[in-house]
Order: sequence, then C-alpha cells, then structure tokens
Amino acid sequence: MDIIFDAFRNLCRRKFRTLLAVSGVAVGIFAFLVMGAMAEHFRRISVQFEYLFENRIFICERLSFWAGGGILSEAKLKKVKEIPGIEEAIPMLISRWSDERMVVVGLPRVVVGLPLENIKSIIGRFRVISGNLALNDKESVIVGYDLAQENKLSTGSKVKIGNEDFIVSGILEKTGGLYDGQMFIRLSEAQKAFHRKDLITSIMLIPSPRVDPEKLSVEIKNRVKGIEVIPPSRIKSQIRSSLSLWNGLTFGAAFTACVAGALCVIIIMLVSVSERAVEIGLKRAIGAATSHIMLEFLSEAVMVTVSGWFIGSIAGWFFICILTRWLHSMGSNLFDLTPRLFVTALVGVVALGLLSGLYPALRAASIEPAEALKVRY
Amino acid sequence: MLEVKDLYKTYKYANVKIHAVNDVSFNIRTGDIVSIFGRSGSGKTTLLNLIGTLDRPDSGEIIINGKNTREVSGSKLAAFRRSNIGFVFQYFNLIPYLTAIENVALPLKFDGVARSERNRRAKEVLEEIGLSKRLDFKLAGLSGGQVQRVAFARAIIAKPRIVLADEPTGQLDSKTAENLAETIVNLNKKSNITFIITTHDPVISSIANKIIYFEDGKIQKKE
Repeated sequence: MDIIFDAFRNLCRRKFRTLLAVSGVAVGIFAFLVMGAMAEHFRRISVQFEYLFENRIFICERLSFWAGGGILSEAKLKKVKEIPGIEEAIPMLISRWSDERMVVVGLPRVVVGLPLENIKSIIGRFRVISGNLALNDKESVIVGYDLAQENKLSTGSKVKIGNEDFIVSGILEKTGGLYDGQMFIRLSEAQKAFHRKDLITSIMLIPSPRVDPEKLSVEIKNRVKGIEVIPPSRIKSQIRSSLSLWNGLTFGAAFTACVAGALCVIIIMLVSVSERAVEIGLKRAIGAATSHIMLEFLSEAVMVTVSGWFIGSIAGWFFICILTRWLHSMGSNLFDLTPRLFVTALVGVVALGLLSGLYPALRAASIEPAEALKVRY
Repeated sequence: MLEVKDLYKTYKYANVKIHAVNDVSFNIRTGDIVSIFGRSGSGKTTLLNLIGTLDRPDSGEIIINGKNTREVSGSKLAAFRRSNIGFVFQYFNLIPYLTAIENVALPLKFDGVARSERNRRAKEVLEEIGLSKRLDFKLAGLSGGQVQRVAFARAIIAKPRIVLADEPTGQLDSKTAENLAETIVNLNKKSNITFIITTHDPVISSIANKIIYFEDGKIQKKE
C-alpha cells in the first residue's frame, strides 16, 4: 500500500506532466481498443463463416460479388443437381432488406430466401430464443438476434419485406456472426417479395459423405458454365487472409500504442530522476536499498500506464458505444468490444510500465548519495 | 566502537589531485561526542562521508562496532547504514513535500516497519525533542532550528550506534545553535548514541568530549 500511496503522491506533485504522460498512454489504448474491437468483430464473423461453410461449396453467378447482384436461374440448379456426389443443393435468394441506404458500414442487413425443406440445414445449428425454426406459414420470418434488437422485434411482430408483410415466427440466439443481421423466409416468398420469379442468387452444396468437396467443385465448374464455384479451401483461405489483415492492423495499433506510451513514460521518468537526484541521494544515505529506489520509480511508471489504460479504456468504450449505436441505426455493426481486449491491454500496460520504467529506475538507483547531497535543496 | 586506520581519499579535478583525507587514524568510544573542527574545505565532509559509507576510501580501514566497512557492499550496505549510522546533513536535507513526522519516519519505512508503528515511533521522537506541535508541518512551515531538530530526530529514530552530523549549526543563529547543542547532549545522555559532528562552531565544540582539529585532509591535533 505504501508503494501505491507514494507513487500516487509523487505523480500528483507534477500534475500537468503526469497528465501529459497518462494522455499519451490513453491515446494508445484508445487506438488499440478501437482497432481491436473491429478485429474481434471480423474474427467472430470469420470463425462462424468457417464453421458454417466447412465442407460446403458455394455457387454464385460468375460476375457477382459474393451473393450480391448476380442472378442464377433455377435451370442452373437443375444442372448442378444432376452431378453425382451431392447430398443437398440449397438454392438461396439473398437480397438487402432495405434499399434506403446504398452504402453500409460492415455487413448489410439481408433477407435470405430458402426452400422450406432446407431451413434446418442452414440455420438448424442454432437455437431460437423465442418462437421456432419451422416457417409454418407463408408469411413467417425468422429473424437474427441483432436485427430483432435493432428493430425491437419479437415473436408475432410485423415486418415489411419488399411490399409484403411478414410475421416474426422465431428469433435466433446471438450467434456472434453473419446470421445476427439476417432474416430467413421461404424461397418462394422471397422471389415474390423481390420480384425474382424462378430466380436465385446462390446455391449452397452439401457433398455426399466421403466425397471430396474440392474435386466435386472442379467437376461442377467443368460441367456447368457461367457460374462461380467456391470450394471450402478458397472460403477458408479468404477468411484467413482477411483475418490476417485485421490481426495485422490490431498488432500495428498495439505496437504504435506501445512505442508512443513507452516514450512518454521514459521521458517523464527521466526528467523526474534528474529533478529528484538530491531526494534519491538522501534516501540512499538514510538506508534505502537499490530495490527501494527502483521499486519507487517502477511503481510510478506502472501507475502512469495503468491510469492511461483506465482513461483510454473508458474513452474507447464510450466511443465504440456511440459508434455502434449509430451503426445499428444504419442496420450495421463493426465492433465487438470483448473483455479479453481490456485484459490484454491491461497486461500490456503493466509490462509497458515495467519496461519503460526500468531504465529511469536503474538511473535513479545508480545515483551516488555523496555526489547528490552536494546539491542544496 | 569506531576505528579509523590509515585513511586516504584523493579527488582529481582538472588534472589536479586533491588529498581530501590524507593518512587519518583515530578511535572513538561508544557514547562519545566528537567534534571534528576545521575550516571550510579542510576535508571534514569527505571524512564524514567515508565513515558513513556514502563514499569509499582509496585505502585504509573503517571499523564500526567490529565490522570493517570494506567487507560490506551492495544491498547489505543499505541495511548496514540503517542499523548503524544516522545522518544529519549540512543543508538539513529533509524532503520538502513530506511532513515532519513523515521525514522522521522515513528510515523505518526502508526497514519495512508498518505505517502505524512508524508514525508512533516518529511521534515519540519528535515529542522528545520538543516538536510535538509540528508533526504535520512541512519544511516550509518550520524554522531553521526546528528543521534541524527534525533532521536529528530522523537520524536517531532507527536507534543507530553513531550519528554523523555535518555542520549542523552552519545555517543557524547562535541562540538556536545553543538549543541544538543542548538537544544533542540530551540525546547522547538518554540513548548513549555516539555523535561525530563536523563543525567550525565553538558552541558545538564545547559539548564535545573529544575534538579532532582537521586541516588540509590531515589531523593537526586531538584533544
């Protein structure tokens, strides 16, 4: 307790300088949390993507971007189904829920039209928090967790899709990924609502047991023209590369935060050592060991970085909350502020404080009392 | 109690060698009040720093209570100082942002004594030297004499065997110096602490039972 009290008192004696150093660390933590929360969001989506598309083949129109834009006819579906080795071929019509906003940040809110018999293959891995997964009525819609929250939907609520009214029959649990911003309706109803009679945007293939999905993808590509066949390995590699990008950005932010924070701490601690040379000499003369002096300066350095973490965390949390609210109002999300980000940052700042305080502490501990005491207060 | 044998210390400034302590030997018994009397620049402070293990001699030996200070180094040196030596410096050297009681209790803190016990003992010592009403005063709120008495309280709180005082009355008027001399005599009588005081103040020399006259790093005379 003595150490904490002394460190606090010493830092309070030089309020402005301490504030500057704490701000330097806080800015670093802020940047780390913002970048980290974005990386966490994309990591979660990626993990779910990998889980959902494991051993599955995705087919879309050759020139389309993922499931957006391109249209496939149901005739293509028939051709694909003729190829042996396919256990299930699920046609889907995926469309943006609202046309009001052309540009969205993050993943757009979408409506997925699915054949009734395939509903369980797509969303059956998740539970509902209310209602059921049946889509018993033509007007039924199953809503993802975030979409339900943003639009205050519950079982029995009315939702407008295209020009049609639908009734919420089930709300999915929070999946932490793609499905949280999606709605699921019958394929026929989606085609009607979006005026896409007999048209689909993509096909999800589940290969038969013991069929190599990579080989099956090549065969489909050779036999059906004008489609893009995405095998599981490509999905995985794309997920991995986008994850690497986000991890790189987070690491970059963390590194920059560390360098900026460490420089701030080292500078103020060195100035403090110079200013307090007489005091250090005096303390050594009256019995302070090297460890006492080092501990005093290290504790101050750690207190600066931990205070920076505290302020940076509050600022980051506040900023992300506001931004998330705004993004939700636009039907999107970009951040996942997980506890592990705060814990990682805390461990990081403690280590940073110890490392950056080490050199000034060693300098302080090496002050010769006889030399220091020649100076008069 | 204290044995100083063939002590040498030389400094080099701008290629000029200064023999600050030059072949000094003497013995001091427990409970003595010793005055090292000499002019400014005669090497008194250097001698005190060597005895107090704040500086290392070029050669010679200092034996405090049977322990040769050459054999004590590193982390043991700090503990050795804490248990054997108390310091009063020329310019008081109290920490200005600490209160009187906190300044006095500081050596005990390095000994790992709990805060409540530190404060109790510091209060006791400050009361003993007549500063019971100044416990929470900082340096700026105390007079020169009071500050020096706080410095003495800090020097004796850990119950050292020797107190080394470097020109303790250098910054005080004659009346305050007399009061301080009285405080030293009282502390010496009560706890049998050995005092070694460098000074050029006759008031302090008058309370000493041993006077060492020092000039140009050498002992000129012992009384």
